[in-house]
Amino acid sequence: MNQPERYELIELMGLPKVTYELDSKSPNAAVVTLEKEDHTLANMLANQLLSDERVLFAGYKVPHPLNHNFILRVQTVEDCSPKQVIVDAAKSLITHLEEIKVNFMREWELKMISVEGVEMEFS
Amino acid sequence: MAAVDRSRTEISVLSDRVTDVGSVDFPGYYFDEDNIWDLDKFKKNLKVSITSLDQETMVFEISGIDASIANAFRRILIAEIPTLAFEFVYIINNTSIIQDEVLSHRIGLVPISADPDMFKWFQHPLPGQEATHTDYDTVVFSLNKKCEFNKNAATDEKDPKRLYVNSEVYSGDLIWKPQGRQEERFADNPIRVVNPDIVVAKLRPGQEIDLEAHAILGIGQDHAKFSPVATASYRLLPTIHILSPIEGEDAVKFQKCFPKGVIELEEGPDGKKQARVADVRKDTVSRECLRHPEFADKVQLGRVRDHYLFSVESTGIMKPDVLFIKSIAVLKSKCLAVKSSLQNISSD
Repeated sequence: MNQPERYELIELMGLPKVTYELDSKSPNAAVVTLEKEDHTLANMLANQLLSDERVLFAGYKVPHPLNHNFILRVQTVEDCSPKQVIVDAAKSLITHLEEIKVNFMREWELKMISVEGVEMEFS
Repeated sequence: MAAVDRSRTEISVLSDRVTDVGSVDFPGYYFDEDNIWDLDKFKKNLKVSITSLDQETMVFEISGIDASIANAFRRILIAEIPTLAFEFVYIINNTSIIQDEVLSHRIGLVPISADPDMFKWFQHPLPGQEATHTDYDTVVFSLNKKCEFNKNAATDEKDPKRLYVNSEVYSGDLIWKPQGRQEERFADNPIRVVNPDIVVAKLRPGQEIDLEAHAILGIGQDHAKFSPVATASYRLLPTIHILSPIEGEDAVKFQKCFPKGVIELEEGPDGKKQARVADVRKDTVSRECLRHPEFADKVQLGRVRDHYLFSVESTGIMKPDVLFIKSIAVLKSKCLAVKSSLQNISSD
């Protein structure tokens, strides 16, 4: 059958997760290919990169919807490498998510206390 | 009172278009502001609140985050949280009118109540190899139903449920068959189908279904049956700014332009009824009020750019609050993979 295996969406199948190449067309630019990832991560990374003052350009494209990868292009100011900027963006996103989790857990605990309080009143 | 420029914080909803959609809070957009991402600023602006929470649904709000992160949560909830679902159906006997593949498909969509964290990923065999299932990656269910005439039914009975025995096959008829150490591992919380009342097939006397179904871990990206949510969506918080007082009959008309509970009528200083915004969260942003010329310059509609109202409805496999925590973990693992992979690359 011509249909690709469903697990090819997820499994790397021997491919490297990240491919990093310097862009020959412009200075201090790099093209990063991420395998088995889609808009979910790509959009987050691109937007986080744009909030860094060292970044001159950040954008991504999904070359083909049937190939599960995306290409991220980053250009930075002279005294900084694109790789470092992407690593910093990933770190910032992890901090973002940690903070959201802490806030959510705090809210959740308060919600549980209020619900249990109501139950205690009725019992 | 003229319309205030809120283009930085709000999306303007006009009668014929939506404006100020793009974010402008990044470095270099305004020459006199840096707008660099700062952790302290982010912590100060971030707010999370849970509006409602029960076994199936959760409504919560997050403000102070970028649209890309909110959208990532939605996408992860729908497609990337692992759950168990039936992947292999071995049909021993099926004499019902439902074809084997249709029956298998229907069984595949039945949600299973089992903790995905207790299972490993099933290793799909390479071409020509045999699949090896273990009690740590596969759950086995069996279904065996045969329809017969009900000997005690009245002669003039028309209802198939009384006329026949086992005239309908329900998801609850799928019986878990513990394998290996599963019985002791799941002694406290036996594996079962979430909803036992889903009609899988209908039978008539002489027809029989006998099958075995194997469930494995998977994600919604692979097939919708693995998705742990029925719906996971978000919308931006609506805003209604009344620029000049709307009074009397106009106030009553204005109230009718919105869903119930959005606009409240109160007594103004001169004793007339006056419109006041009561609860914007109930607004559907239908823009009905903008159709009427009398309200054209009196109201400004919009949506807060970074305030998201999330609604998560679980299929019952896991509680929605657990799903959200898991979505954070999945996103973190993605970011960690990028970080570690890039740090391992030596060339620059």
